[in-house]
Amino acid sequence: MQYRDRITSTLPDLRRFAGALISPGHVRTCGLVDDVVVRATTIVLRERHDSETAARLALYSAVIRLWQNRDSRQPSPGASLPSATVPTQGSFAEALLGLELQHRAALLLVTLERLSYEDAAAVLNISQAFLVAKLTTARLMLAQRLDLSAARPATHLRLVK
Amino acid sequence: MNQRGSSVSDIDLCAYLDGELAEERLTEIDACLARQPASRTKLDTWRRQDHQLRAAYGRIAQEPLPRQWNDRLLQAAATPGIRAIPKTSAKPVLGAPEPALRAPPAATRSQWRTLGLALLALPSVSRIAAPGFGLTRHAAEAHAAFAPRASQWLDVRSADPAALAAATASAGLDVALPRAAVGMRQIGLRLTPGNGGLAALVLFDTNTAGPVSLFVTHGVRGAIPGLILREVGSLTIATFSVGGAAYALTGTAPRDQMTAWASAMRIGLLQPRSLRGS
Repeated sequence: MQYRDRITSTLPDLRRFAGALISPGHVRTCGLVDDVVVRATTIVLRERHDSETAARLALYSAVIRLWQNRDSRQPSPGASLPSATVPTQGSFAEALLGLELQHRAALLLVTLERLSYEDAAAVLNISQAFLVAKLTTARLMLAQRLDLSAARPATHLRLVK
Repeated sequence: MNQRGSSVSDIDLCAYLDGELAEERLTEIDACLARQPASRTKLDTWRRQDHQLRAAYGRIAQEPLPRQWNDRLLQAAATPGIRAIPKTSAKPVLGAPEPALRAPPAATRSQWRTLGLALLALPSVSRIAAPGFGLTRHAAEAHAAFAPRASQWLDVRSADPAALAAATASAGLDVALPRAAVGMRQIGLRLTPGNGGLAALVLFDTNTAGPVSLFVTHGVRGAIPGLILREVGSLTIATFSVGGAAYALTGTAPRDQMTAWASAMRIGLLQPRSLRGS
């Protein structure tokens, strides 16, 4: 298999990861997510990684880097999303979006993408110990946020004429 | 409470859930979980969360990829240039074209992998020969990725040049680091991939020109005669080499200012080691 084919075969997974990382409030990917995925792919296509795994990890890493760079200029990532996308159930997506980018990325890499701790740590450019710490924090915070949103009284949804 | 063998820490639970525990520890955790309903409840909660996450986003991977992607990727693969910066107009302003980076020494490669920084791209002949695929591109990408967020993800946060030099040396990057020029304040350092293997991105803050970064990597093939100034989008990149190491100072400050800072750093590096601190 050619290098380019190896890269493109991972694109559906990469798109899933980018969608959950960038716009967790939407079950379908939007133009913004696709743009980040294509840009990350173009970067990695020019690098000649010596194995499929190395190329795949580089793709995840490039998506995070590109989004982090953009995210730093746009304090509210969700605000830039196009309106034509389909929202998921609110509370889970809100809770996920409430996590810091690196915590969210750690959780998604291990849970959604099923990367090993070693590979996920390499993607985030941190040690495995640091990764597990981030992952634990992410899970605890997510549970806490979901608890809070479940406990939110329904009277908050009053209809005001 | 979190003593090994008697209790289950959150980190243990996490590794248990992800199948990352050694066999021996797995048995211990199983025994602990049988005795600790609170830990079991937490584990179940996390398991449900994981399931919910996969259920919510798993279907994205089933969507067909947009047809226009193929054309965009084909075009991108055939076109050299900097992709992390929207508008690229890399052109030498002073001096000769930049030299290409040479391959890293074998020891550096192994240290790079040992560090777990798995993004090493082995250089190929075509990459070395292609214009715009050298120091400038890597410096611009590293600056774009990390300099705007100097407050996060730093491997070493220190204004002390000795601390940064020690960190690069222990990572296997044997290069001299310059002191901050007048008007700059050193923030810290981040290790990052480069064509030549491991590279360092030293971050500085300035009073008027925002973040400035210095990309430092192992040697170049052929020395850079003096300073080379390039403009890439809104970035100005001043490259130079001293003692076999390549340097690229990147920022959005005016050209004259970037030149002055890069010159000061280069002159500082050219001084004998004993005089650098003075």
